[in-house]
Amino acid sequence: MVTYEELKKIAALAKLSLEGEDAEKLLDEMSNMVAFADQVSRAPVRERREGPREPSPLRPDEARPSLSPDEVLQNAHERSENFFLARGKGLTVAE
Amino acid sequence: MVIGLETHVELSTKTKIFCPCSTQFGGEPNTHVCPVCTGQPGSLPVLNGKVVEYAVKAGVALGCRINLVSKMDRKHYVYPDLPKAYQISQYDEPLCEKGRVTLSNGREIGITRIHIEEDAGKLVHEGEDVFIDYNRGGVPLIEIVTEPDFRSPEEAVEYLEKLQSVMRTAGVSDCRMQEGSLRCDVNVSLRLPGEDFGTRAEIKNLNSFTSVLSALRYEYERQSALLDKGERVVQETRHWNADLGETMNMRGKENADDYRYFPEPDITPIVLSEEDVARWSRELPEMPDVRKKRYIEELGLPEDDASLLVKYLPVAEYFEKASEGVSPKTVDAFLITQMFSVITTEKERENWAPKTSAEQLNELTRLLESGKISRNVAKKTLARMLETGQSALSFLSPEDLEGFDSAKLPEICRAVIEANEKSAADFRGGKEKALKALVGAVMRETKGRADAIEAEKTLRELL
Amino acid sequence: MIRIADVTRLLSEKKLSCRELTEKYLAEAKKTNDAINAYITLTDEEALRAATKVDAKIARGEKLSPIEGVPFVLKDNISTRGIRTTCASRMLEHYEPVYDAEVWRALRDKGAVMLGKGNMDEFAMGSTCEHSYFGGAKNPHDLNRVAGGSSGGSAAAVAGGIAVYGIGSDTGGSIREPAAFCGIVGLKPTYGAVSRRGLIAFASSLDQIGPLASCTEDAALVFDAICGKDPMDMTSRGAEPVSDRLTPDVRGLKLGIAPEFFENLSDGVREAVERAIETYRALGAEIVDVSFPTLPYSLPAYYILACAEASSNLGRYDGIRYGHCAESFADLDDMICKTRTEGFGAEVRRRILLGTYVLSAGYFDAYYKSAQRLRRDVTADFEDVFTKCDALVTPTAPMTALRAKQHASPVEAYHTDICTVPVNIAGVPAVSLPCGADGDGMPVGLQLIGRRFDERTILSLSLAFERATEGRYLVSAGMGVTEL
Repeated sequence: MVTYEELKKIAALAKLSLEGEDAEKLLDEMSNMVAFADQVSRAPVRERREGPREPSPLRPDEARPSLSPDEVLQNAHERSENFFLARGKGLTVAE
Repeated sequence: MVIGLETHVELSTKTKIFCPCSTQFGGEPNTHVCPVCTGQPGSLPVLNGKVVEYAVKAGVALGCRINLVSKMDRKHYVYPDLPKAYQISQYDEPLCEKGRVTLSNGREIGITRIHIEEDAGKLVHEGEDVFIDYNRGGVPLIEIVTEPDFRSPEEAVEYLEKLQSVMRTAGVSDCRMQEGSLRCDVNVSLRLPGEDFGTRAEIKNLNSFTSVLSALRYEYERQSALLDKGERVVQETRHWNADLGETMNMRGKENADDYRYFPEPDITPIVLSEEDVARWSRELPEMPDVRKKRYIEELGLPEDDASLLVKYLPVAEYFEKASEGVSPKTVDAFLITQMFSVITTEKERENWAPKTSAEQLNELTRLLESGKISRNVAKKTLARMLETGQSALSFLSPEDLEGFDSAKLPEICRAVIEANEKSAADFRGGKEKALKALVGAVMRETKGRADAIEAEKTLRELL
Repeated sequence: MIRIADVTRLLSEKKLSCRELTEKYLAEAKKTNDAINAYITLTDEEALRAATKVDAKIARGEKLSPIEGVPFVLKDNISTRGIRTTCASRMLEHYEPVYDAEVWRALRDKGAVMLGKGNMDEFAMGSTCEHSYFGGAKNPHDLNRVAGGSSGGSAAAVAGGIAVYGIGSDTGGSIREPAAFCGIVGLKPTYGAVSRRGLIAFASSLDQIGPLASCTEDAALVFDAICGKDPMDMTSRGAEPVSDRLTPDVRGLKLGIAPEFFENLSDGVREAVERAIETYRALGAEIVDVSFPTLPYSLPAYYILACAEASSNLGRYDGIRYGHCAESFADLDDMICKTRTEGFGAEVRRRILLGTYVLSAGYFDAYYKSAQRLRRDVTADFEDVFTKCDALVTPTAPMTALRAKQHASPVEAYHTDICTVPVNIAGVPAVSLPCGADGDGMPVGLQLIGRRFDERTILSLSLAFERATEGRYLVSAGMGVTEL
């Protein structure tokens, strides 16, 4: 079943923190979900060939107006002139 | 040395790969962006047909097999320049495979694959903060991966120059390392003859051909030093530090990312027909190698000249136009000695735009070949043409064009000999150099219209 | 219940102005929303703007198009420029999109009047609507029960008389199941019939937008208004309009019954569905036995595919360009982790983790690849079934609306979707229509599944049932706007 080590690795990939989680409960839930997903391995293999997915027309190489910087930055948490800004350090609890 | 190259080439389409934002260089930050290339919720990518066309052309030009059916995949990793937290690329069904580039020493470099993908945005780090500009995010790239077939740094650089030339001739990319439209990572390992491949190191952050050369040479030293000591080469990614002239381990990089590739559900498969590929192949101009061969074998040009001419498509095209109906060798001579030799920078050569048009050069050549003017006159006229952009005829008087009646040459030579007794005597006495003075005199007498070589011959006969 | 045609007639006959109509709905919505929590945001300004425009058109004597002037609810995962679109998540609590979803643009251009954004399960992940940052939506037929999910708010608004129709999204049953629980009609169109541009993605290869309505004709009218090929959505194909091609004459049509869909049903559901099948028999449809062997595996396959795509689609929420951002963190990586952990609810986090797990190196083949193979098998089962019949008849869900806060384990909760997920996996269309009630009076939904791009057959069958039963199962919950 899913080990805590695996869960930590997966959480790191998914950029989710496990702090404050009821680790046991989460592990339990995840193990159940994975066991549930495991059922697919028990399905009989029926070698069906996949029908080709229909291709869609490709876009012509014509420029269209872009958003203005103000529009695209409208929802940004922080901006600096026309740049998105991701701070490397936020308030720490002690501050 | 065993070297493999991974190059990213920016395609010169007008719009980005998945959205119609302009790919124009420069521009204030975040002015060429939209919901798609900034990864806004609910946005969907739409593949640019021109990107596929250019990628196929690149593949054909590099001798690849084009896969008529291919697909896009998502490659997941987290970095602020990647707005969706995945890059849309191609994983196991790339557009092109199994191509080939032949080097001057005859070695064949295998091209494993070429695939299309999107570029990331640009980051500016200031202290711990990151400033992000998504203008370059979504610019179309092709990634060209070679087999580990190179055996020396020089071969690697030659390949890069060839690649650049091919991409430019094909018209799919400017391919400039300094501008970032050509980026290169190298994989390099060492082995003793007969051994299996050694452990390889990956070198990134190579911004010029000289960096590639220097970094590879450095790696040779570094790795052989390790191996000589009995130590092992670590499989790692290293950064080339041009200032220090060293490759350095990239500390702080995450453990090998698990990219969790899966097929991109928002983009339908890329399905091409044989006709598409054939049409695009026909649209490709003659590739530099083929052209060079033709110049040497059919036109009789010397190899060095041919190499120079084919390297830049505008130059080759100019040459061919100027050579219509006249001897290519003559045009070649003009081009190489008077026109090309004066420009020294790559930039000037790429932006070849002489004041003299190909038609004008052609006209001048015809005048020379018909005997209306001498080689000397042609040379001088060309110099004036290049300065002013005017045609030959504006500098040549009807007199000049009369040509020189070579029947008069012996008479003139005799007169010159008589007038320059000392030089004549010197020559008879064994001083070769004295002849030059006499030839000079003949040229002055005939206002440069006589053919210098003919004059020399005639003088010799007379003396 | 109030139908689209009723509204159109009243407006055209000038018995009521669109503004009056809209104000009435808005007033009722404000009153009723406290009880059923169908709306996350009411969009008075936008609604009245649209209504005013419709009134001007009426004043000019111009004819109204089918859905013009009709008030509706838009699920809150569909982007509306300048109007808060939350996906019922803390992550997007204050997010205002800078562009419009294609579906919203199409509806707005056709004169639709948007009353507000519908409550839902967070990022469309859930079957009860209880996984909403803004509290769950309640079932108008019994306020102690859930509305269903994930388009619970849209369903509750329609059933609760505070929208004439709703727009939802369906990834594994999210339109059909709440429609069944709330006693209304819900259509999941063929994958690709409606553009997904602007739909905030859950699972890209499964999501599809569709209508929730009080009757079949309304569902058809709305489908016609929203279907279409969008060159900016490569997966969209568009579809033919169906409203004027529906026929309640189903004689000779073959209806397939697959026993796999009839296991573990509650008594109320079984009885109502069996009675409905008899109704079709009486109408002259031929009932055919078919089989659907991959059904038991379709649920885990669905969860693997859906969670994998969800984990990928939700990777973009890092607090930088939009959405919630953590205040307190040690470095950029920490900021992103904290932002996501704070912004996403428990169900979303679980599914992201599962999705990441099944895509990760070492597990990809066992899970994702197997699920893809099963996807082909499910699609093939449908193809086999449709060589023998024109539509498959199943219950929409094995039970009626659950009691609120029943706290099933995550995996137990998934089983609500057993009858609906195969439809999304194969990309075929399906409609849920009310066909009865159980012992507690809770509505039971009948599901009709059709061939790709054959909405016409399943909607005709749905219409036939309504006519044959004189619409007795289209029951108003007795709240909201009950008459005009």
